[in-house]
Formats: sequence, structure tokens, C-alpha cells
Amino acid sequence: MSGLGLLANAGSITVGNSPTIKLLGLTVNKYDVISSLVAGLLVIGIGLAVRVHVTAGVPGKMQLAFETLTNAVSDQVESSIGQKGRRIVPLAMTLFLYILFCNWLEMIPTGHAPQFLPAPTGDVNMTYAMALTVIILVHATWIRTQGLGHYIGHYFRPYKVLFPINLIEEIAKPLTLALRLFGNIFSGGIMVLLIWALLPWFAVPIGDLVWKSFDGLFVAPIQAFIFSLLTILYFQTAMSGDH
Amino acid sequence: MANDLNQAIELAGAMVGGGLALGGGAIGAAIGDGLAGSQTIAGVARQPEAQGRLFTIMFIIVGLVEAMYFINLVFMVLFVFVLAKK
Repeated sequence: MSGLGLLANAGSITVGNSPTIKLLGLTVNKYDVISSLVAGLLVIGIGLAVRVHVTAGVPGKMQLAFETLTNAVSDQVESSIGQKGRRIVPLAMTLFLYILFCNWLEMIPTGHAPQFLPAPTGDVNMTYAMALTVIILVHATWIRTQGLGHYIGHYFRPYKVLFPINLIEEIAKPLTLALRLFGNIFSGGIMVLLIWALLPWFAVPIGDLVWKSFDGLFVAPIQAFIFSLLTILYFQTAMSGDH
Repeated sequence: MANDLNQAIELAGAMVGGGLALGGGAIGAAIGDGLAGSQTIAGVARQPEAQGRLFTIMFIIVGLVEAMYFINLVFMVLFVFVLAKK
């Protein structure tokens, strides 16, 4: 596994292509689906574990952490949307925890090409799917809360001539939501590939450690937090109007 | 032969374009992060007990600013590895 050999392998980096299998006529990226299932099971497992040990007395550490997170998200939702935004809190919590665990899967070394447990959010299909789901939910809530007339009228406020700009803004929201998360996590994976390919053998562990510390401690929580925060803010303009 | 030349020109163009995208993105992201950090330092100097809230806002801004850089990186990968790497 010399440096140049890995780089040649890395030269076949493609965006959105991974080892696939055909399942019921659909092409599925098998390793990405497996690791997204692993992350999902982790989130559900932690939720169930907290639920089993929940007490009204002195809380354990896991319950304390979970309560802190839920309070933070709930405070953010209440300060922006108000009481009717309580339905958004589970969505925001799930998004944050799920994206956090997906990003943290990148820290586990499971091979290079193919990677057996890649970060699912490093696959562009995953982030497009998540961003589309969130944006469709936002628009549906918009129409349901404020009515179809108000929703269409919002494109022409505050000035009719700003209609193209408002339209581009609404198209840019899911695009930037998806590409921001994808770019951050994908570049983390590319950096690991480059560290393994280009550094001399004695510097690889140090470089690996330094980069993965930065990636896991800063990029992963910040990107998860920004995705869920932007979801809450989009729901704020949908539910209470912005003017 | 002409096809090789065309491919070489495409690859060269893609590399230069990708480098420009990365360079411009890095400059923008660095300046944006620096502005956010400088205002945070000014705010903390003025009012040290607001440090927690200011840090939170700073991390939000850093995440949003770096998004532009990473979107540029996605376009670089698109140019170099998808469009010109036949």
C-alpha cells in the first residue's frame, strides 16, 4: 500500500458513486446504506437506553446529557417559533443526533477504497435526500399554516420585481443545505485518503490523529448543529411569516 | 492524437478552474471567519460574561461561512474528477 498506489486509487474518486448492488430493480450504494442503518440503529438505541433508565430522582449521566440536549433544542425552537413549534422539536433532535452519528462514523477506520463503513453524509445522495425531505416539509407546513394565497404572495413581497430573487432563494435553500453538509464531510474523507497517500510512513498516524480530532470535534458537531438550526429557522419563516 | 490533445486541454482547464475555485473560496472563507472572530473578541472584551453566547453565535457563523468554501470544493471535485477525467 505505497503512497503512490493509494493516490492512484484516490484518483478514481467519484462523487456519488460507490460500490452498488441492485435491489428490487433499484441501484443501491450498499456500504452507504449499511452505515446509515448503523447510525440509525445507534440513535434509536441511545434513545431507548435513556428511556429504560429514566428516573424522576437523581438522573444518570446519559439522561442528563439527553435532557440538556433536548432543553437546548426546545429553547431554540420556542425562542424562534413559539409554542406551536413544539412539533418541530423531535425533528430537530433527530436531525442533529442522526447527522452527528453519521459524521462520527468517518472516524472509524474501515478501509480506504472501498470503505466498509463510510460516513453516509459524505455521499451526495444522502444529503440531497435529507435536504429535500426537510424543504418539502417546510413548504407543506407553510401552505398549511398560512394558506396557499399567502404562500404564493410571499414570493412577490416586499416588491413584485424581486420575484426572481425570491425564487432563487427558495431553490438555493435545499441546495446549500445539502451541499454544505456533503462538502464538509466528503472533504474529511478525502483528507484522510491524502494523508495516507502522501505523508511518509512515520507521519501518517500523527496526521491521521490530528485531522480526525479536528474533524470529529469541530466539523461534525458544527455541521449537525447548523443543519438542525437552519431547519428550525426555515420552519420559523414558514409558520410565523417573516414580515 | 487530436483526441489526446483535446483531453489534455480539458484536463488542464479543469485543473486551473478547480484551483481558482479553491483559491477564491479559501480567501473568502478566511476573511469571513476572521471578521466573525474579530467581532467576537471585541464583544468579549467589552463584556466578558457574554462569552458563552458569543461563542455560540461565532460557531454558527463559522459553519455558514465555511459552507461557501466547501461548496466550492464540491465544484472543484466536479470539474477535475467528473467532467475532465474521461
